[in-house]
Amino acid sequence: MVNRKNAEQIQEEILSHLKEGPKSIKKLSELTESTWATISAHLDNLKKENKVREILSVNNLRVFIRADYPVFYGLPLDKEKRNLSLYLLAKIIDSWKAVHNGEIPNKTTVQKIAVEIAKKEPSLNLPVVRFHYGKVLPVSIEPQNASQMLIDYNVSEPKNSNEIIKKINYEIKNGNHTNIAWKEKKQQYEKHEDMKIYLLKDKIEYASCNKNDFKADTEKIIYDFFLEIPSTQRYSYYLQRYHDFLSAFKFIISSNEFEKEKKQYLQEIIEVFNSIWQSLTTQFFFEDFGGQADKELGEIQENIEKNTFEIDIFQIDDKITNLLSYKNYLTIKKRELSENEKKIMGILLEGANEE
Amino acid sequence: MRWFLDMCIILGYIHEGDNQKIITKTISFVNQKKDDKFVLCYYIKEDNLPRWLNRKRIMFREILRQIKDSSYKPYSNNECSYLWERDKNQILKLVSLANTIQDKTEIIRNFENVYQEIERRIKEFIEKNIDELVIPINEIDQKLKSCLFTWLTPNDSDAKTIASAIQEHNKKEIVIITADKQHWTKELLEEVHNDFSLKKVYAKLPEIRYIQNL
Repeated sequence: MVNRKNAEQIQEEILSHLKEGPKSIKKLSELTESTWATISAHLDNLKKENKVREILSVNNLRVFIRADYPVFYGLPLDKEKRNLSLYLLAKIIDSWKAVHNGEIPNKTTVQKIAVEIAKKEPSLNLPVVRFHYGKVLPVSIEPQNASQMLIDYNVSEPKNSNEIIKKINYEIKNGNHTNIAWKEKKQQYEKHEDMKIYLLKDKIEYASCNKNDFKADTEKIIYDFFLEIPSTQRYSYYLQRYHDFLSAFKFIISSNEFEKEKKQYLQEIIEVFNSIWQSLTTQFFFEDFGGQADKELGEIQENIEKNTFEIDIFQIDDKITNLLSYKNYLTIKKRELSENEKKIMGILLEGANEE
Repeated sequence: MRWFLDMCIILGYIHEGDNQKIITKTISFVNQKKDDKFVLCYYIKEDNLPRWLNRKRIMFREILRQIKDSSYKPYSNNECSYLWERDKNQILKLVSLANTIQDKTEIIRNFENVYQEIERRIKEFIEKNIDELVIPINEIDQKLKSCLFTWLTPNDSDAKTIASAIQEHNKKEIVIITADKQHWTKELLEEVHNDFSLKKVYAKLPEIRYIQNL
């Protein structure tokens, strides 16, 4: 006799399997020994109840995660690393509250403390990735729900928990943490030698607020930023688009019309810069996150990455085209070239008679 | 006289501080335009010049990769496939020039200044000197272009430009002006008349003059 599972049981099973990470309908069908159609229907119900999210739908591949799944972009992350990350973040929140009379730390502070611990204790093997606001663990936790999250995801205390708590307390007391998000970020950018590009991004953001002296402040920083974009093939798109952005930026700020409508131009320039930044740092994230050994998980991750990139480039290309179109009707004065610039122009125009 | 300009005339004219005979001749030719008309085809304005400019930008990014990243293998980036051999020779020179400049930001500033000035000069040249833009790109006769491309010169850009010139000449007389003695020849144009159907459509072939001989 076959014991048929009722709807509630199947949905419980689905939610339980999804604790391990993103799963396709096909995979969930195998795990629950149910048909594809049954699982699909239950997932649609769970979706309506906001218990799951569909993160990918490509051809026949439909992938779901639990609504509370803590890994960025719903990516699959090794269970041990995920749980240790959750544990660390939750304990940082507890310790902060204990040291600061119940004050709840903001997410940035929690993440920055976690990254410092990961840096000082490489043996913990914690995953650290670069993202929009610097280095973080690729796991998100709401400070108010931290303890519940540990229960929901069956996170048990690691063997070296005492040692970890000691490291946390030491970092909170001695790490100059202020629980002010922008200060926490800046401190990290200054401490880590490989984060110059983040410091430059902050400077550009700051200069954009100082509209009166934008030109003088920003031109050099915009060039410096160009130097910090990696040379590898993965970043080729960004090097090209940023180069276009840089060219449009230079043209606009050198134009005779810039001062008259400075505010509007600045707004557009910063908007384009931010789009590039968001996408570039997403690329940093995927690079640091690394690949998956499991074939299906590898395919899921690859598709999430591809989808994210495609949406980004569509927006960036559109904005850059608009910015470059200013070249058609803004006017600039003739420039006197320096000796080096004359040499560069001479070389660039060599062989022009054969063009 | 209606002069049909090859792209090299524009690039020659915008040149800075070079005493080559060809540059001097080009500048003098343009400055003595008087009542003559300058004709440019849409293909040069809308396709070939932007592509030339884009190649210069690819070159610069390649220079940047080479000077800032010692682990980078030269020309390994996919976009380098758009570069010509001539571009690579220029890159060699520009890299050695860049290496004499300590401040890498200054290299970017220098290059962007030059690029912006080249763009400005091209735009100014077209606005001030071009009297007519002719033969929209989608009106280039593909059969004529293919004939030129297949049999006469393995160069798509030249084929499209010369096809535009022949088409325009059969509407209203032009004289082609170029510095390219190697590819743009009378014999090359005459090959078009070896194709009977093309000869029927394009009975007249334009005269070619070389800037060096003026």
